[in-house]
Amino acid sequence: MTLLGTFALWATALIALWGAIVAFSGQWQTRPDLRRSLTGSVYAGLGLMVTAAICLWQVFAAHDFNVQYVSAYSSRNLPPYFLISAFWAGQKGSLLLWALVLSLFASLAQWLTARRHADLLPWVAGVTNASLLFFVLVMIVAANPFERLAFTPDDGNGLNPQLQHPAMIIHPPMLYLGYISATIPFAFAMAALLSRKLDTGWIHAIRKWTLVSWLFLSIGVTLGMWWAYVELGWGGYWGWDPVENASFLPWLTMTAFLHSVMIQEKRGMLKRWNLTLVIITFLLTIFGTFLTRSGVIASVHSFTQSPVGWWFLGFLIVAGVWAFTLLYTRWPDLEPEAELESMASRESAFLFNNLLLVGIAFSVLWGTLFPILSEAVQGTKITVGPPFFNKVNGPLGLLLLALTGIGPLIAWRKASPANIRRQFVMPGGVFVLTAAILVAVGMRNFSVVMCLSLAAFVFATVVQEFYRGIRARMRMYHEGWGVALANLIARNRRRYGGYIVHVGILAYFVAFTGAAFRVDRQVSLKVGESAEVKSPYGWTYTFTHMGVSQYSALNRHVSAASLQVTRDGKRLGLLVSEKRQHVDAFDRPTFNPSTEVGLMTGLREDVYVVFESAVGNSEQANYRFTINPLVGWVWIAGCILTLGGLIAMWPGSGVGPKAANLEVGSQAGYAATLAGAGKS
Amino acid sequence: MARTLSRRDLLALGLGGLALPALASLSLGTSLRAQQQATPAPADQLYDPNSLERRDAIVEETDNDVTANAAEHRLACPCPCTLDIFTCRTTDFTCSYSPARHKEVVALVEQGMNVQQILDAMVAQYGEEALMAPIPKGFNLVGYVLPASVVLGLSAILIAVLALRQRAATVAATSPPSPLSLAGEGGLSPDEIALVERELHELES
Repeated sequence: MTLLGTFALWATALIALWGAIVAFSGQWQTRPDLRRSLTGSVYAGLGLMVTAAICLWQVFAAHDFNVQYVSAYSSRNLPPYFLISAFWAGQKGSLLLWALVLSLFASLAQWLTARRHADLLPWVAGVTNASLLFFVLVMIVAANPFERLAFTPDDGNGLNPQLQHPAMIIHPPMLYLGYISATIPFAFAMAALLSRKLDTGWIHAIRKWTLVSWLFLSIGVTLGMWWAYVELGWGGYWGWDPVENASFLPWLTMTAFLHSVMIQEKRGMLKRWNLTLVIITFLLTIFGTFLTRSGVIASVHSFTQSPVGWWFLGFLIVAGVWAFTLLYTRWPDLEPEAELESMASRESAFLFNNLLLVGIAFSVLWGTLFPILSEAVQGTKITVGPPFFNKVNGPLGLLLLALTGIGPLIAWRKASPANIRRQFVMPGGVFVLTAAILVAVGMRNFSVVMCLSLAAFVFATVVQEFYRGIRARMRMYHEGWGVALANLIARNRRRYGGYIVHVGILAYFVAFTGAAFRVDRQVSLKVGESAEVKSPYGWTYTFTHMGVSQYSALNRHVSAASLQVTRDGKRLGLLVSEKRQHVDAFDRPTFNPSTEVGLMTGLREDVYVVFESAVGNSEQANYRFTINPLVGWVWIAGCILTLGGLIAMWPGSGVGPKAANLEVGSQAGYAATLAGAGKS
Repeated sequence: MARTLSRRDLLALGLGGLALPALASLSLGTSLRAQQQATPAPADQLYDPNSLERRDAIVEETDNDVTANAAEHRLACPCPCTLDIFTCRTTDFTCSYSPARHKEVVALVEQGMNVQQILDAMVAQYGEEALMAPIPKGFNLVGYVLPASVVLGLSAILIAVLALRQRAATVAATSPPSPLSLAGEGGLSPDEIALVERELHELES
């Protein structure tokens, strides 16, 4: 199997090389056979990568510990479902996963848009083949997952306990799907530049693919937060770690693109800017990979320091220089078709939104790299942690939240004072009222008051948009409100899906404010003893230590500390936090003991318990109790955002071209009225 | 002769397949329980003390001191965890640095120091790398100020450009487009133009 796997890697490299040469030589333009061969090379790459992936899974399933990668990331007693995540637990397997997903997306791009973008697809195939070639070469030369050892260990090292969690089966693939699918918009952008077909065709292809990437990345990042929260035991979900930042950076630029692309679609403006955003997004995905694999920056999540990172730096430089040179040479072909007419317009709001999103991306990148810069300039090693990022990004985040509400309310081209008044009276009132209520109830944290008030403002803008749209449909078509709501969303999925995404974003912001009210308490309890913790809502939680039970399960010895939990005297149930000592098939410890948190989650707050240690040989236990307000809303926000994203990317525009054109000139919230009255 | 599998057979096989692991885990659980019952640990003593972290020290009230914890959230742990002292000592239980630093912080609190004084004392002893965020002075100030400056600077440029364009557009537009020009450019029928005007009038009012 390792032979077949290695053969698949080599064959992919040769086929991808062939595909890239044929594509960039341009010979396919006069030779249909070469053109067919080019498309075939993409599908062949997928077939070979699937073969390589099956080979790797097979050696995992067979516990072939002579294979270095299998020996490093699995053991005989590893539960079978974690053999799935063992595939991408290390550097080599994750590179194979990357190449597999890249070949899958490259094939999908060829298959799904074979007729619509026939002129661009050979160039797209060239870019994806060149990318695939790079990843496969890295594996062949520096990180071959099929490499064999000179001896066969009796058992493997096992999988890191922190990766033995259901989220680890789905979080990395989701993140990778987001990262890797960003190659396809990049490939289409490069194809448009290479072919000089810079009309609106390529932008439609790119928008859909970017939405797909953005959605996968959003889900991946949220799942990563969930994993960090329930598995790592520190009580938080986002620590501004370089690897977390690396996933956040392309998300920010993709979000900026998804807004600015609307201006290009509707007004033919910002073509250069949009191409720049697509290129930067792709480069940031590679940059993130360089950060995690080079060891240049200390991170909890990093793969071990290896020369692979420098390969990525080289690829990053080559791809960046090539893409920006190409953009520069096509600069004159990218003249805007219209000019901005007014400061009070949706275009301007989107421009400022882009400025803030890219500004935050710059700020995050700056903070991530600042330790290196500081060491180079001052000679001292410094840490740039959450206090820095919160201080620098907090105000920018609040401005962005405000624009999330303002943007959709302003008309395209030029908003009249009457329009602005009409759109902002209700949401503005909600903002002021919320701020007044929060101050009246004694909240004095400025950032929290602003964040919650702006969240209320954004929510009011969304409710207003839905309300007006539903009312218009009810009036025009005599529909019930439920039917009107469904039709409203169905007829303009992109717009109303976008509003739902905005609700998701504001839910994240609301959830983040909870961190300001977190309560921690450490206690030491003998069996039967109790401790009390006061929550920010004024409730008193009582934790009674029931004892520590020990047993063996699957691949570990478990020490489970149990607590009876009551809130203001009312019994809530039993919370169990565990210490797990993982062992191999011969009962030898494989890693340091790991912690499983005890968690009671709710809409208002989470009760988070960590069994820190036992005292001596007794059942007396040291605990950390954390009351975490509003954390549950992070996961709810993720679900809302995913729902909105799915609605927005669902195939079909929902409205005919005529109606869409009429919407351009309409005021926000009135597309249904004009479209319906004009043509039905 | 090949025997065909009926739906009833398939169902039976499926149920059997489901029941087997359940029975296996039941018997495993029973044997584990039996094993544990066979060798009970003394009251309040751990059955297998070697399979988890143990500490001789119990948590004391000073470990929950608000000033100490606030300072520890701003102090970096020297181990490779990249976490702050508080998070590391209450999360990564194998780290020996963060409990030691915690003791130093508690000692400083007991001397009556506030958060800033504790941070200053730690920087004096270990250098700036003891902090979770750089001190905003000298070159570090660039780190704090640059992102917001870039955004503000670009915003100012954007506003200036928009203002110039708006002025130019106002000068160029001597009169608003007439219904006639709408009909000419967009190909709208008189009925559609009337509808658009009605809707716009309604919106403006």
